[in-house]
Amino acid sequence: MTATADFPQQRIMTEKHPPVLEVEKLQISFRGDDSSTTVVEDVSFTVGRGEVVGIVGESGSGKSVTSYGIMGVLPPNAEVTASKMFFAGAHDLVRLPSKKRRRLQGKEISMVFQEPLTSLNPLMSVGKQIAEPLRYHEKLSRKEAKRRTVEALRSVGIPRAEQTYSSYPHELSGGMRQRIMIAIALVCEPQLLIADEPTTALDVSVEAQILRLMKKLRRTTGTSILLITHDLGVIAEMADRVVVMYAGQVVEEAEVYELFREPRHPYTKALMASTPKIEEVRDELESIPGAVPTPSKMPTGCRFAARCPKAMEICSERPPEVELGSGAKTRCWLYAEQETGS
Amino acid sequence: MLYRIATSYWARYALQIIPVLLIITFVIFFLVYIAGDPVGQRLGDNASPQQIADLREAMGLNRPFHVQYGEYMWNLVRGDFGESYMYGRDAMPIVLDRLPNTFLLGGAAMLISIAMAVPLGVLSATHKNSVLDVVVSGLAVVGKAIPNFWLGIMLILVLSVSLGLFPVSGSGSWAHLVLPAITLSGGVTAELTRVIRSNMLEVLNQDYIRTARSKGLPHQVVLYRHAFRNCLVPCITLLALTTPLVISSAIITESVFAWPGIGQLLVNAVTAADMAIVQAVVFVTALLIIAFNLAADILNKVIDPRIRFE
Repeated sequence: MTATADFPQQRIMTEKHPPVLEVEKLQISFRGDDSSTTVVEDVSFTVGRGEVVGIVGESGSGKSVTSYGIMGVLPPNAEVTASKMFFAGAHDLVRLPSKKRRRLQGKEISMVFQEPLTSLNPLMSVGKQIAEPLRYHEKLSRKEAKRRTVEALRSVGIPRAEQTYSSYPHELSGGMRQRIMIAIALVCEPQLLIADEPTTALDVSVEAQILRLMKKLRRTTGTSILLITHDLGVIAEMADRVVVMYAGQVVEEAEVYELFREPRHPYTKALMASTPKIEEVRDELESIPGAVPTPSKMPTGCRFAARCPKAMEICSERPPEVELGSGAKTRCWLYAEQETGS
Repeated sequence: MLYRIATSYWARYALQIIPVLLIITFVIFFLVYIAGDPVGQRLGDNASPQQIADLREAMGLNRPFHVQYGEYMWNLVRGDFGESYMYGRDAMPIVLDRLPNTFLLGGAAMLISIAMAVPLGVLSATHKNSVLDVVVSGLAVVGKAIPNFWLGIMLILVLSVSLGLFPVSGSGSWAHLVLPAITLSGGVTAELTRVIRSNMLEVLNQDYIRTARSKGLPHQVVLYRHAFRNCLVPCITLLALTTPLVISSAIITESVFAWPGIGQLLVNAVTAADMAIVQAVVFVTALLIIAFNLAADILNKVIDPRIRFE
C-alpha cells in the first residue's frame, strides 16, 4: 500500500478546506546536452492550511529543487512532472499555463530565498522591490503601494521604515536584508510561503530573530509555510510536520514530535546522531560515512543502502513506502512487514 | 558629507584633466613640428628659395623648437589656435561651426546602435544557442570586421545609385543623414550587441532574477527592469570607451558621404597642411573624449548606487 492516506486530523481539515498544497509523485529532471538527469523522484506530501511543513535533508537531497519546482522558478532546461500538484485544491501547478501561474506567484504562493544579498536586485531600492508585487497583482497606485510597503516594513520589524524604503540592499545588514525578503514574500498575504534555507546565510543570533519573526507572522496571517532546511534545530523550532528527503526521494514523513521521539528511517536516525546535543559532551561528532550518490549513479534499490548501518540483502531492491499509521511514512525495508492501515 | 565627497571627486577629476591636456597639446605640436613645414606646399613647386625663406621667416618657423612651443602654448591659453590659411580666419570658430553636424551624425549613429543592439543582445541571450542567437552572433562578427568605408560605398551603390532611395552624399535633409548614420553605427552595434548578450547571460543566472520571477512579474519586466538594468553599467562604459573609435570612423564616413562635419574638415586640412585647423580639431576631439568619459562615470553612478566617487 503505497498510496497516500490522510491521517484523521487532516481528514477533518480537508473536508472543509482542501490542503494548500498537495504534491503527488513529483519528478524533476534537467535536460543536458545529450542526456537528462533526474534529481527529484516520486516526492509526495501535502501542506495543510496554516500548517508548517519542514523538508529536511543534506545538500544534494533535492529539497531546494523541489521548492523551486513548486514555486515555478526552475531554469528553462528543467522538466517537471507529477501525477498531482494542486494548489488550494483548484490550480494544478504542473499544467497551469505560465500566464495564469504568474497570477499565483508572489500573490498566493511566495518564496524567501537562502542568500538575501544576491537574491535582492542591487540596483533597485528595497521599497520598490517590496512594492512590485502590490503594483502588479493588486494594481495599487504608486502612493497606495508605498503606504502598504512601509506597513510591511514595520511588520517585519524594520526600524525607521520610511527611510529604509529608499535604501539599497548593500546598505543593509544580512538580517535586515532577510527581513526585506520576508516582506516581499508576505506583502500580498499569500496562502503559502516557501522558505528555502531562510536562515542559513545568517548569524546564529539573527537566525533566532528571523525564526521568531516567521512564527509571529504565521500566527497573525495564518499563512502555511513550507520550510526547507538542513538544520534539524530549525525544524524542531518551527515545523508541525517533517518530510525527510534523501537523494531526491522522501524517505520519511512524520509529525515533528513523533519524528524526534521515534525516527524510523536509518537515514533520519543518522541525521539526528550527527546533530550535536547540549547535554552530551563529546570529542567527536558522529558523521554519516560516504556521500549522497550522484544523480547519474543512482542505485536501483534503496539509495541510502551504501551508507546504511542496517543494510540487508533486500536493500538492493526498490524499498516500499510504508504507512505507519498516524500519518507517518517511511521508505525502508526494515518496516516492510510492520505495515499497518490499508 | 555627500557634498564633500562630490567636490573632492570633481576637484580630482579636474586636476587629472590638466596633465592630459598638456600631453595632448604637446603631442599635437610635436607631430606638426616633425611633419615638416607647410611652406613648400603653400608656395608650390615653382617658389624661389628666397620666397621660401621669407615665408618661413614670416611664419616664425626658423625659430628654435622651445620658442615655437612656448608661443603655441601661450596662444592656446588665450584660446587662439592660429589662423587657418584655407579660410583665412581663426581656426577654432571654423571647427566649432562644423561640430553640430558631427554631433548630429554621431548621435543618430548612436541611437541606431542602441535601438538595434538592445533587443538583439537581449533576445540572443534569452534564446541562447538558438538559430536567432547564431545569426546575431555571426552578424556581430561580420559587423565588426567590415571596414566602414566599404560599408558606406556599398550602401551608396545599392540604396542610392541602384534603388535611388537616399541621396548619394551631402547634407541638408534628414534623408542625407540616413546612410552615413547607418555606416557609422555598424561597428558599435556589433560590439554593443556582443557585450549585452554576454552580460545578460551572466545576469540572467543571478539569484535576484529568480526572486523577480517568483514575484510573478511579467516576462518583459523581469527581462528589462531587473536583468537589462544590471547590464547598463558595462554598456555605458563600452560606449564611452568607443567614443574615440566612433570619432575616427566619423572621419572616414564623413569623407565618403561628403558630410560637412569636423572629420571631413580634418581630412581637408591635413591634405592642405592647414595645421591650425588640424590642431583645433584634435584638441576638440580630445576634450570630447574626456567629456564623454566623465558623463559615463556620472551616468553609471546614477544607475548603480554601489558606485561611489572616492
